[in-house]
Amino acid sequence: MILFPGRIMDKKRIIVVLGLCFYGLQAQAEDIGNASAASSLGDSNAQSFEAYYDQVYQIRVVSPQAGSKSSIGSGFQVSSDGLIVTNYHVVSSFVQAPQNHRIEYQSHTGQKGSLELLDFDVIHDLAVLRHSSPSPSFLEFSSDMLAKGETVYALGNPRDFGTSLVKGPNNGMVEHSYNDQILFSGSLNPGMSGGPAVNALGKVVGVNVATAGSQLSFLVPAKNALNLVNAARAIDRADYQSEIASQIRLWQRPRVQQLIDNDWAVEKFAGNDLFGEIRKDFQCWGQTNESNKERDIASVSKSCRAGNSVYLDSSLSAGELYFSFDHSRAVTLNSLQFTSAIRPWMSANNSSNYDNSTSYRCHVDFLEGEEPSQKDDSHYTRLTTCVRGFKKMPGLYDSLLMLERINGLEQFVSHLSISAIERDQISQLNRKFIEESL
Amino acid sequence: MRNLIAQISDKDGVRIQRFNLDERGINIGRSWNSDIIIQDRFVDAQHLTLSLGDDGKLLLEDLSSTNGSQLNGKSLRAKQKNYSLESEVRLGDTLIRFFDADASVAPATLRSRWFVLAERFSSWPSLLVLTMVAAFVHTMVNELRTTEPVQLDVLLVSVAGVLALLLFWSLVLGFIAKLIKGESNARALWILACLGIIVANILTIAILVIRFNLQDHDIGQWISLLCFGAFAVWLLVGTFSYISSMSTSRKWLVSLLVVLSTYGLMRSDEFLREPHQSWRSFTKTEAATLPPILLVRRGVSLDEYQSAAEDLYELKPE
Repeated sequence: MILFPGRIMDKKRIIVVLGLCFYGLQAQAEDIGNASAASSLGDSNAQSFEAYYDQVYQIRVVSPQAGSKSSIGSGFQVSSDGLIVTNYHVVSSFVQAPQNHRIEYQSHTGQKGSLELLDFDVIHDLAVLRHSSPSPSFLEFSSDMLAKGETVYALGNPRDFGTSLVKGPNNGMVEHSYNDQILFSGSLNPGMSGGPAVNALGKVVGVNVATAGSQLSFLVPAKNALNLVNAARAIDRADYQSEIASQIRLWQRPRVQQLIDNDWAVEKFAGNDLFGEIRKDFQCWGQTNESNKERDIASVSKSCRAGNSVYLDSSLSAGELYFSFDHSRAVTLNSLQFTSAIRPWMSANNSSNYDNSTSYRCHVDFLEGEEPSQKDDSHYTRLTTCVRGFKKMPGLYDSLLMLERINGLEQFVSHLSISAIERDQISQLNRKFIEESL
Repeated sequence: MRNLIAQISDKDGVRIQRFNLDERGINIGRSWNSDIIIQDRFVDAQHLTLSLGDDGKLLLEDLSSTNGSQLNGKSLRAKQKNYSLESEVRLGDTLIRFFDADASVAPATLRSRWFVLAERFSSWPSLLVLTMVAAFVHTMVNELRTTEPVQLDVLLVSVAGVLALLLFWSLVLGFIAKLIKGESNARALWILACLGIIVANILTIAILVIRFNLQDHDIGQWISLLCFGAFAVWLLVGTFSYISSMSTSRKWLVSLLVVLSTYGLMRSDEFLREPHQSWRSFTKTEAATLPPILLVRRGVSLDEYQSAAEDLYELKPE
């Protein structure tokens, strides 16, 4: 659910999710005095805030050819030996092309230096970097449960204007999400990605990650960052892609298997028993063209989408789960005109390009009816399945499915689009989807 | 004595006259006593004589005519000249050529099948019926495939469009034919276009049904390409028959080349594209979708479908 400023992700939902990693403005770091991070924060104690500004670094991915930064975000030191936590998406351009990029930091005092990427977690959007000259002070992770309504202070460098503190309540975990994410009601802005969110005691409770607009922001829970730091790994550059692939596999397998194994709750659609929000992370939206008096085709549709996907690069995302139903009926058209209006093409729900994906290969056939002996001229069922592979992550595929049932002047289409899944699970999920749809 | 033929071309057309030539010769002129009468106001009453020489040669003599005569473009004024058969004599606005009546004529030209075809519709009622059928078929097929509801004005525009196309085609190609071949054949071109419209529309529907039942985008494209390619070659060969005098084999060769090069030009952009430029994030499957009644193909079970779809995972290296 991370996108960079200005791009609309899903028009139907009107929510625009912005990435907090920011491209394009020049650095203007401000010199803020050094302070200890141990004292506690409080609404009345303005003096003690200052200590926390020092703890935020601006993380920049620099492209040496352009001689300038290509993306910025925030980060914070979490250990005495100089480990820095930020978001994966802040350093994604480095991960995807290490040979063309360099990671640097700039402290609030304007001090610059290089950073080394040690480990990342593409699922939770986290990365661990090593600071070449660590600061003596660092932030500690909170061991306490975060209470709903508790005030959280998020820090970061929005749009490269200077380190800022944003205060807001914690609203608990985001509903409709498979991964745990904290709903933070404060205005995070591009550039604050990877910055720390601390509680009133000054302990880290989360990492800034994304926003959905006014006061709707998301934090990665501190435990995910702590796990990554504690793993204490250092991934070799050559293994970045295989590491991403194995993280996606490890996350997708149970996530998809659960959908295959669970019963899908029945929801009515256009008079039929179908399904909809099949797990808490799915959200459905419906629409109809009833208000259009001049319509040639009456259509009712519903689309459902899982709340999580994995951002890998500005041109690549993975892990989308999406399905939709569409029921249409000819109002003014004859059967030949009605079927001519059908365009049985599908397109991917995750972004990718030639470097990352193969082209789709499709298989199309008609499914026989319940009684194959009887040739029935009034309806047919056409099934189209398409698959494309990830070039850098062998064994993972994006899959599209379209089941069309034409019956006289009516058509019912169910569509399933799933991303970054292994082939055995694609077959199983496709089959379950077809059987539940028919 | 020689038995000769005079071919006389004047503003009224070509006329043929057979005559015997002996030592006395013949008179050519406007006079009613002439052996060959030329009705041309620029020709004298006694204009020319053609006679047989001692050695059997033909002699042409201008009788000091007012406007003179020409033999193969050269002036004949008051001179006796040897005439060799088939040479062109000009007097006034009239051309005369002499042939030996005993010489054999060229074998009959084979009548082209295309002209036989055109003659089947030579009567006005049959031409009218053919035109109406073409307009009807085209309009029907168009209506069947559009997704808009049927409307009378759309139908009328479609019929008018067919007629305008036929008129434009026949006139333009007829004009070209007149220039190249000397005969316009506009009527034959009209008939060919009518037949072309009917065939093209029937072909469109037939291919649609076949492609719908096949549901294979690549094979479907090849079928369309071959069928419409063959149709285009056929239409071009017919057109060349009416507008040019090419031999049969040349007509086919030129038509084939025209169709192939047109196709090559149309698709050249696609052929020259780099692999990354033709990468798409959407699927490409058979677009043809028709009502259940036109489905002949038998369905498969879900198990059969899934095992057939397994090979999708064998990704081709790009």
